[in-house]
Amino acid sequence: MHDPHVPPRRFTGIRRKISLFMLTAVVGVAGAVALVAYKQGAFVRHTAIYFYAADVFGINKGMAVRLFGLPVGSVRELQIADRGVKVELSIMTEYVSRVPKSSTARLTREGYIGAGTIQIVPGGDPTASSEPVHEGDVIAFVPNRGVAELVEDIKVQLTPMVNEMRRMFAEMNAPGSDLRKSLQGASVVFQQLPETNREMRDVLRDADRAVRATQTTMASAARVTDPLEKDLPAVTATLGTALDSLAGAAHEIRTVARSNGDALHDTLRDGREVVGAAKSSWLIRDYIESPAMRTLPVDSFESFGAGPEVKAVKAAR
Amino acid sequence: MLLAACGSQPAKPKPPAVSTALEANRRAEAQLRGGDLEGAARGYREALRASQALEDPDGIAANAINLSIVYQRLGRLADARTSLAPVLEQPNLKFAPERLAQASLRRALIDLDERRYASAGEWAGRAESQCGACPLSAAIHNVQGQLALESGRLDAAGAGAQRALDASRASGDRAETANALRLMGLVALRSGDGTAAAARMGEALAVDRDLAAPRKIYLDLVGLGRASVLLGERDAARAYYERALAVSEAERDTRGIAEASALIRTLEQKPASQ
Repeated sequence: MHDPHVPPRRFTGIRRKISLFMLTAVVGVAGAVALVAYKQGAFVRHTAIYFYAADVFGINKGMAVRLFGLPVGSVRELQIADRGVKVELSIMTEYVSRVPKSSTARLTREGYIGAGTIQIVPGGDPTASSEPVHEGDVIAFVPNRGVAELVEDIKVQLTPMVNEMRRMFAEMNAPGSDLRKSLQGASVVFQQLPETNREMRDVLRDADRAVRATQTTMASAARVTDPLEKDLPAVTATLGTALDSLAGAAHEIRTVARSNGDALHDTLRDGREVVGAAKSSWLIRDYIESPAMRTLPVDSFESFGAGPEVKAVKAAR
Repeated sequence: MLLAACGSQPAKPKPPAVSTALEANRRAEAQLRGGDLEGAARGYREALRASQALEDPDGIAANAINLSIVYQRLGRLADARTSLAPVLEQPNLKFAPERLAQASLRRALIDLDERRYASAGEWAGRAESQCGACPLSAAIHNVQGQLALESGRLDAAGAGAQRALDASRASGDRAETANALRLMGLVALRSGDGTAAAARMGEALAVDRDLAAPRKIYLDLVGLGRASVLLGERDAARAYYERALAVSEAERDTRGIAEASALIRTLEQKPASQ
């Protein structure tokens, strides 16, 4: 009895369907892989260049490499070598033409706490070769300055300034320093200010007296000219005018000296000149005492403070 | 003639150094008039230095004497004596006899103030020999009279005062006339003659008021007060002492204020002790 197997109707063409499904899955996976690889740059040509660093603190594989801030590659390999650590950078070939051989690499951070990146800095030296790097070329690495170095640098720059300030303070504190002398001089000047003020007032009083004396002298001179007028009317008229002018000038000097403190010195000097000129004129000089050293009267009772009764009282106290 | 007079040469201006000394001298005098004794001393010191720099004997003598007067009024007797050294202890400069007499008399007055009567007498005698018939003779007689009074020689004191009175009237020195009258009043006080003392002191007061000399007025009023005490007129004495106190206060004379106050207190204490 032969009972031939008859596949169920629903499995008709199942082989073809499975094959199609599998093919679709494989193509899908391959497409996804290809897409990821494409996204990861697997289909972009890279050029490997190197640099040597004394240490690679902060550098690790996969770290981005940037040129002018643009990502142009990554750190591919780190190997200990006889010159330190050999770091391989994989640079997208299309950017290699922008990287001359004189370029340097340095480790930077995006901000103070951002991710680290390798920054390629094209060489700034115009005399250096502008030929782009090629596969396997080695560029220089500029290590970052540490905090200790920064502190040392600041210290080196501040030390002369601190020394200079210390020297200045020492000079200021020295007993014979210019500053101390200046301060002492200023102190003396301030102490003498009241005395100067007093002397100024004395000078003003003297000037006032001198002007008054001049006016008195002018009046005397006017009296002297009266008899002369009878004999020499023309000459006396001229003299009278001159004397009037002098008297007016003296009056004006006094007015100005009283009203204008700022112009006091000048006015005083002018007044003295006028008085001096008047004194030297023949009409007046005979009436004015010539300047001579004055002596105070020697008084026989200068020492007599009080009578014996007072002295006895003082002795008893 | 008028034209010739107008065309005559003007007075020659003084060199700046001389002017400096003169100005300091004048300034000091003004300060002394204003009661600024310290300022006056400073000015006379400056004038003395300037005169010494010029070897000007007259300027040196004038300013040294002035400085000694100011120092004595300040109560700085040692400085007053030292300030006379440029005149009295300077053998290399020739001073006029009158200047030497002035300096010697000043020295006598300083010694008198310090009660060094022997030394004061010597210097007064030296001044007399240097002076001869100079205008200082009245002052010298008055100083010698004061020295005689201090040593209790009332006759000699009275004679000295009389000589001083005569000399001062002859020379027209009214300040010394008043001093001589005051000295006579003091001699009378010491003799116990209150009436004569009051008369002489009154005359001295009249002259001193005429001369507008506050310190002398003070001394005369004190003398009049003492004469009143002698005459038993305590109220009058108190009035004189109070006037003396008022004069001292107006003059800001601390020594005079203290002395007049002490005299008034003495007057108040006497009735209590009796």
